[in-house]
Formats: sequence, structure tokens, C-alpha cells
Amino acid sequence: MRQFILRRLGQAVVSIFVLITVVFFLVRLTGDPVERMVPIQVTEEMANELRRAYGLDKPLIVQYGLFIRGLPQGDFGQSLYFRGRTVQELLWLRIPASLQLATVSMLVALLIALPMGVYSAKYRGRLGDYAGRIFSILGGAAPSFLVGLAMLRLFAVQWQIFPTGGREEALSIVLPTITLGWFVSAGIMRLTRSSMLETLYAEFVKLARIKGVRESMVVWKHAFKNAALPVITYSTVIFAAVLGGAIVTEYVFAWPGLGSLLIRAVIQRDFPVIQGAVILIGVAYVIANFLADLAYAWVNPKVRYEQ
Amino acid sequence: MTTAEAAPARPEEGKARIRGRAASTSIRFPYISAVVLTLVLLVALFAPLIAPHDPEVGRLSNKLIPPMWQEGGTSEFPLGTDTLGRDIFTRILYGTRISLMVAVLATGLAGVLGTVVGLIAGFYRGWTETILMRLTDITLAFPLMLMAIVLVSVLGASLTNVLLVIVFLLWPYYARQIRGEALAVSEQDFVDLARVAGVSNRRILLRHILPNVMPSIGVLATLQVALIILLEASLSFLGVGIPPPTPAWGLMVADGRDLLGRAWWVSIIPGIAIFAVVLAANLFGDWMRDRFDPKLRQM
Repeated sequence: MRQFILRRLGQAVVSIFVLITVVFFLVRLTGDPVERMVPIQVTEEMANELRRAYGLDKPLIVQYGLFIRGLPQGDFGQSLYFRGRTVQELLWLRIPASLQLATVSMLVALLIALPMGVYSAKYRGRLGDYAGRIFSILGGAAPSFLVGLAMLRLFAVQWQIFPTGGREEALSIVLPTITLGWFVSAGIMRLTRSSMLETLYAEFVKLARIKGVRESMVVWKHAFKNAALPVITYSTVIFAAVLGGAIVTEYVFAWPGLGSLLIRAVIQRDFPVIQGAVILIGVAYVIANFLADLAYAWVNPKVRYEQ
Repeated sequence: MTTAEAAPARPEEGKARIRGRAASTSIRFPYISAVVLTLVLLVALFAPLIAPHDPEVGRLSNKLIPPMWQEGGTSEFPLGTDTLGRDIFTRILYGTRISLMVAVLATGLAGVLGTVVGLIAGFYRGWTETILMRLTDITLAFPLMLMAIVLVSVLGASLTNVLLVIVFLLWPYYARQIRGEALAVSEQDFVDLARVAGVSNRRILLRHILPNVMPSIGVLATLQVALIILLEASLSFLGVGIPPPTPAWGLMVADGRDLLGRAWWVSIIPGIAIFAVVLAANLFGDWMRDRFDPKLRQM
């Protein structure tokens, strides 16, 4: 197990390092940011001064070294668009909103998907099972921008039950949560169902029934407890994906999270912010995947020895 | 009584019954999906012949006409018009070309690239394998959507760049899958026999190993079509995909984003088109997987 952890940790560290390096050099391919920042009538001298101020006059490799050195302190440099604000500041402002949306959506998705998956497996072929499977098939295929916009149209514009966007009101989170939660619960429900189908017919479940254990206990304590393992691993991976994949949802609802910050930075070519947001989301994703792999190896020793 | 019914008399029988039933429900051929996909293909091929209007040029005097079933709609513009007076029905017809082109080209290129890498890694082993597989792992380690956004925005939003980025992000899925299978196949006797008979490595790869991994490639490709269509639409929606005035579906959805109250059809109708195609492709892919490669069912 120890060897597995070390190997996997090594991979995670290399991935993060590659991410940082690739992102650093990629964003510099987009051209000189100073030319976008200043009005055309500005003199070459002033532009050079600006370049010096942001450290853009130094050779690329030196810039890279300085960037890497600043990372452990969370120093991603200055925003080019919001003058005088550090990227760190902007990211910190956005993290709570992103975490909140991801966590709430994840919880809602689990609360819906787990009972639904269990029910579908238990009563396979019945009406409820079909309804559950349709819910999951549709959720897996519906683009989040369509779900989001359709709900905005109905619940925010037409019936005015929920706000159209932002995060100021308590109800603001409802529509983004449904949009994101539906997509997430579709996958979890499907997995729970197939996993439950396997355990419901297993020997130990049969034994529990023969012993006369109550049916609800058989389903939840015996079958579900064992079926839940792959679901938990999958949910960790999905949570990571939600952190990085909520971009469209955040954008549709103007939810002030990292995703909408990233899109705005892309439009404004604010490369230090793009860099910071991508690295932050990417690192969170790599770490969550690492933890999911550890959890999986812990419960399933076989994977520890696979290459 | 459900307990008694659910618990079969003998364990073997029970298992057979589960498999049998699961198989019979999932292996049924998805007729509706097949019809939808065929229709999309035909529309893409013959768009200029069917489309009633120009997809990129409209008349401002025709702007924001509602779909024909709503008050104020006309049969001249069955699904209504957008802010520039362009016919949404026509644009959706032409949009199939973009979606399909990206899906087919990206799937094909990523499939070829990933298969070559997977075959080489699984067959030659050694440091070649180590390097190629680490590369695969690293590419797979990042969130797809995030990387797609950043890469396209750096390269510049265009059809070619969207295509390149999707290929770049999706080949590792094939490489990982094919490597494992190539590994298993190359350890079989017939490969050794071929080697003893003096067949060259390249020939063994192409003639003996590749045909054996073909079904997996096909299944994986079908499953990825839906993902690619969705990815391209999302990128175009966010403004880092295909640039206007091309009638890309994602772009059309974005066009109507601020008009939800006044003209819902501008974004919702193209959105439904994307939904329908992705759904059909998903169901078809599921069927392909169950039918040809049950090993992949866990994915």
C-alpha cells in the first residue's frame, strides 16, 4: 500500500508540475498583454515602463523561475484588468462561491441519486425503475446551458420565483444547483443501480434473507453497504469534475465562482488570472483524483499492484 | 412476497437470470436513436437543398419572429428568427454540418492517434511504453472542459483549433484502452507463432493485433461522439469555440442568452437540437458497448 501511495503521489506531483509549466508558457503565446492594456496613443517609453512594472521585460525563463518561486505563497502575480489587485485576492473572493455550489449540488445529487438507484435496482422493471432510468439518461445528455437557460426562462423570467442570477439572495443557489445536480445525479444513479443489482443477488444477501432479516435491513444494511463502495469512489471523482466543470453553469447564472472568473479573464485576456484560476482548479482536481484512487486502493487491494 | 420471488432456487440460475434479463433490456436495438442519427446525417449532407433561407444572412425587418405555432409566427420561418432576422430552422439544418464535422473528424483523428500510441506502447513495452503512458496519464489528469477552454482561447477561437484541441484532449482515452488490449493480445500464442515464422513487427501489429482491438476502438469512438458534440457546443456557447456568423448550435444558444424573456426560441430551440442529438448518440453508444464490448460497461 505504501508503495502504491508513493507512486500515485509521484504521479500527482508530476501532473501538477506539468500543468503549471504548460499553462505558464501557453498563456504567453497569446501575445504581449501590455499592448492590450494601454491606449494606442501611449508612448513606447510608457509601455516599457509598464512592462518593467509587471516583470514582462525579463527573459521568459526568468519570468518562469520567479513565477514558480511565488507559487508556494499563492503569489500568482497582478491582475492586468483590475489594476492594483493581485490574482490571489481575486481567487480568494471566488473560492467560497465555487465550493458552495459544488458542495450543495453534490449533496443534493447524492440525496436524490442514492435512494433512486437503490429503488430502481430493487424494483427493476417496474414503473419507478423506468422513471429513474429516464431521469438518468436525460440528465446525462442534457447540456447544462440548455437546462440552465430553460429554467431561467420559466422560473426566473416568466414566474419570477427565483432570481435570474448572481449570489445576493438566498434563493439564488436553487437553479444552479438543479442544473448541476441533475447532471451529477444521473451518473451516480446509474452506477448505484448497477452496483445494487450485483449485490442484491449475492449469496450473503440471500443468507440475510434466509436468516429472516427485515427486508429494509437487507436492502440498506447488507446490500447497499456493499454496493456503495464504487459509488463513493466515483462520487469523489465526480466532485473533482464538478469543481472544474461548473464553468458553464456558473456562466449561465452569473454565479460569482472560479468558473465565471475564468471565462471573464479569457474574454479580457487577463493572463495572470487565467493562469491562477486554471492552476487552482487543476490542482484541486488532481488532488481529488488522488484521494479517490487512495480510497479505492484501500478498499480494493487488487488495484494496488496494477501498473 | 417480493423476497421469495427475487431469490431464485439455485445460485447459477439466479445469475443466469440477471444476465439474461439485463441483456434483453439493454441489447434491444435503439431504433429511435438510429433514426435520429440517420436523419442528422442526411440533413447535414443535403442542407443546402432543404434549407428555405440563407443560414448566415438575414433581413433585419424579419428579426425575432416567433415560431409558427405562436402568435405572430409564420410558416415562412417555422422555428422563428433571431436578432439578425435569420431563419432558425435553416441555421439548425446547417448546424448539423458543424456538429457532425467536428464529431467525425475529432473522433477519427483522436482514434487513429490514440490507437497508434496504444498499439506501440502495448506491443513494444519497455521505455517506449513508460514514456507514452506517462504522457497519457498526464493528459488525462486534467479536467476536460477547463483545458479545452484554456487551449482554445490561447490558440484563438476557430473551427480548426476547436478540432485540434478536442483531438489533443481525447486521444489518451483510446491509448489507455488499446494499450491494455494490445498487451493481452500480444501475449497470445498466435503472435509468438507469427514471430517464429519470421513475420515483421510492423506486420504483426497491423495484421494480427490491430484486427483484435478493432471492436473496442469502434465502441469507444461511438461513445465519444456524444461527448465531442457536447464539448464543441459548450465551447461555442462560452464564446471560445466556433466564431460567428457560422451556424454552430452552441453559438446560436449563446445568441439568445439575453433574450430569454422576449424571444425564448432563439436559444432554447437550438439547445433542444443539441440535446436530441447527444441523447441519440449516447443511447446508440450504450447499445454498441453492450452489444460488442461488454468489458467496457464499467466506463
